[in-house]
Amino acid sequence: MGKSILVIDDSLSVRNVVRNTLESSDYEVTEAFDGMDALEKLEQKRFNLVLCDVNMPRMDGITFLKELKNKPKHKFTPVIMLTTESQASKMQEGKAAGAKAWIVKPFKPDQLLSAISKLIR
Amino acid sequence: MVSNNRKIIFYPLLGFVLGFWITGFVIEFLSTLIFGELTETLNLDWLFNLALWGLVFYNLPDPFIVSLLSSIKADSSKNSQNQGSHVVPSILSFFQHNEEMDALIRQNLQNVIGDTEKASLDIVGRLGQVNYSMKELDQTIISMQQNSEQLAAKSKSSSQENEKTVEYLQQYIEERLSTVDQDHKITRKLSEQMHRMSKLVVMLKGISKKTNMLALNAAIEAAKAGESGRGFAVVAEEVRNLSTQSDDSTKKIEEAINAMVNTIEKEFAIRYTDEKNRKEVNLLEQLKQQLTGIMDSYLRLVTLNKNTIQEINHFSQNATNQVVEAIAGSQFQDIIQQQIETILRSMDLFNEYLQECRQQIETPDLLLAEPLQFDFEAIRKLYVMQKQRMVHDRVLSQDQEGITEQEDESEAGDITFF
Repeated sequence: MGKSILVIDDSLSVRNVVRNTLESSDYEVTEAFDGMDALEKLEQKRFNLVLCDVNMPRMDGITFLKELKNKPKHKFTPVIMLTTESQASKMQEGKAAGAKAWIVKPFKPDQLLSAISKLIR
Repeated sequence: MVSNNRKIIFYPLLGFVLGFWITGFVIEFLSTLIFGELTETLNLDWLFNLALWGLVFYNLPDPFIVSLLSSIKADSSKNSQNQGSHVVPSILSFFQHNEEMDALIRQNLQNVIGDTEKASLDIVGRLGQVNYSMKELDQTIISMQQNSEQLAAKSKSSSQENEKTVEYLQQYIEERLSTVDQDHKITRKLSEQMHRMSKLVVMLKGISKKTNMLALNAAIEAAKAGESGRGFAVVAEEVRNLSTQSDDSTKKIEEAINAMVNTIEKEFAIRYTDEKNRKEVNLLEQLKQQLTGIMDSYLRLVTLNKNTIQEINHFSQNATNQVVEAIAGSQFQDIIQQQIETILRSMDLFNEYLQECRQQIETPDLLLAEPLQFDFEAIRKLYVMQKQRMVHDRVLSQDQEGITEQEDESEAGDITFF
């Protein structure tokens, strides 16, 4: 199996789409439905990359990102924000919190895979 | 002049009577239709009639009419304070219906979210199965491709070996021809030597004959010599016997040589005839051509197999990409869901506003307070997509004085690396 990716999104259909896209390129996918759930998953395993939505219940993507960067074990894990948010101010928030890239939904599979391969080469 | 004065008096009078009468009916009908019993309660028919009659027949200046209608509105407000029980039920009914309508719309929108999510999951699930099958197909094709490449490599090796075999065969044919030719020559030489040996036999026969004659002569001379030649006669007899035996042996040798010459000439000579050699060479040539032909066909088959698998692989990869694209297409559900959720949150804000309005209406002291304003900017802050903000600004740009400052936005599908 290939490299492992944590996919965080409150939408089941988006998680399914991302899972299918990534598995077609031999990535191993773990799903989380919000930031809190993702932090629990990170307690059990290390991932090569995290794909994270911004607007989610309980814990949003930016808060999760800040929490992640405070964890020594995971602070160097690259994070891509995958969201419908397209405003420059939101993107700046993501950048300040430590995101490596920002992709505006709906994404194109080949572009997503290309961005991932650039970050976990 | 008189006529003009009459007209000045008559027409306004006629207008006054007819106008008062007609507009009375019209206004009463319209007010009953629009306000129900309100105008009757307020008893303002005469004022409306007057205002409208004046508008129609005397073309009174607008400011006058406006001030007249304003006074009516003020009067109606005053009356409604006194008789609020007639106004409030309709408005309360509106608020109640609004709540019911709100619940209805919410439920329907939730159904849309649920249905699209279910449909999207179903589509993704099915396409996921197709994707899985395509992946298995890809694996099979990769395995076939590897086998095909191995086969091609083996075929190349076999072909090279066969080429060597054909070369050997060619060499063998040439060597065979050379050997046949050489054998032919040796056989001929042998035959010639045999013939020469036959001549030696003839010579031996002559010697034997002469020896016999000499022995006979010696015997005659020994007989003539009498007793003294008796011993010589015995020797002469023995020589004669030897000559006879030699003659017999020579005959046997001659026979044997003749038999050998016959055998060589008949048996071996036939074996090495040119026709026979040509047939043999032709057969070997045919065999060589067949071998080369089989190898060419086999190599073409292997190449065709390799190309076919490459084509299938190409189509399979295309199909896999299409399936992944199709799966990605179901992101529309998430986009729709987020838009509907924004609408629902906007409805929450508007409901809060309506509640405040209702409170104002139900409280007589607040009735003449400043009208409540709805904060559309609060809705704008709920948006997560560029498209939503664009629609908002386009719709409200004519009504709102200040348009929110536009911020740089990325397009859908854009990737920004930090």
